[in-house]
Amino acid sequence: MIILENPNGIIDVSNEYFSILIGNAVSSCYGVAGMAPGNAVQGIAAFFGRKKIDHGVLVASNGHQLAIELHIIVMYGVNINEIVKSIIKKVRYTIEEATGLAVESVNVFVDGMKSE
Amino acid sequence: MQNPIITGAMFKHMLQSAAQAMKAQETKVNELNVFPVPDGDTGSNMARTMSACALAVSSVDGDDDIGQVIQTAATALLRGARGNSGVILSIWMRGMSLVLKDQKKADGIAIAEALISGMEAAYKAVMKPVEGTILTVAKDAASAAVSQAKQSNDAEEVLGAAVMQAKATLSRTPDMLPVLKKAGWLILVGKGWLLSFLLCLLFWKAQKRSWKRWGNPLGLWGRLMSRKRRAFTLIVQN
Repeated sequence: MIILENPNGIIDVSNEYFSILIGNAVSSCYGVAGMAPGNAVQGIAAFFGRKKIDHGVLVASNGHQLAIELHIIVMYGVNINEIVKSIIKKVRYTIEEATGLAVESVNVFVDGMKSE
Repeated sequence: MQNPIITGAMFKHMLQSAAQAMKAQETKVNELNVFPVPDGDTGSNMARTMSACALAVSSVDGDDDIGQVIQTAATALLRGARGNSGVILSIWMRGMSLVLKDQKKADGIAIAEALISGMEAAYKAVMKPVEGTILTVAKDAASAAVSQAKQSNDAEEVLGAAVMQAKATLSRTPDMLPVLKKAGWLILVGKGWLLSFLLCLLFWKAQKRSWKRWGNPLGLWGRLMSRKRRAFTLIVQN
């Protein structure tokens, strides 16, 4: 979770919030045909057909900074380098706009490809 | 009926003209960039992407083979894509090339089918397509091309219908995407500021008052804007 301090108290933002926020942002990025499971829990959930919006998104925080992992499936015939740059830019912008936080790192894993 | 069929040479020139047009409008398009990230690089990205395409097709020798030209263009766009907009252009062109790759020339029906294929490829490349973006414009343009192709198999008329519909849909996109409407308000407010300053200048000159009575035009504009600042803040926040 991320803890934001202000004179009136603290604001505790859970990692789940960031996961869903990022999941929504990535799902509208061009070239991303789908999301792959990021860990065993997500893999088992996907096996049983329970994919949430934050599928493929892993968020870690040390209380003040975020480290994000994205596991994406790309479309055949797209420039992966440019897609990944756009995704990272959008994720950073989405989090900064929503919470004002700077993201420490965004790591993108291309785990699969979808043909037409 | 001037150009019922598009040849490879004509398509090559179309791509090169598009690249020059993108380059000419680069700064203006950069200023319009508000979605998905307002980083002001859409014009530059599209100009560079299309330049890579124009450079690649200039070396294509198949003057009568539109399939060869479009395949070269699709490959060049894939390699030379820059930014989100460049990727969309490459996906769209690749979709079109799937229809035209085995053809020597393209008539109205082929052009309409290619536009539909390009649009479908662009929609498939994103999990959640957002309406009000280039996808919507491409979809409506392709539909208009199909309607025109059913009436007349003239490639120029089909392309003309697609362009006209694209312009009409573009003007409606602020109603589909809230961030565009907000940006439109800011542009209008910016234009409003400029207009109000010019009106102050004209009013001051027309009245021919002394500087002591009305102050200089900049001061007059400043007093006018201080009253409008609260209204502007409300517009921006909403």
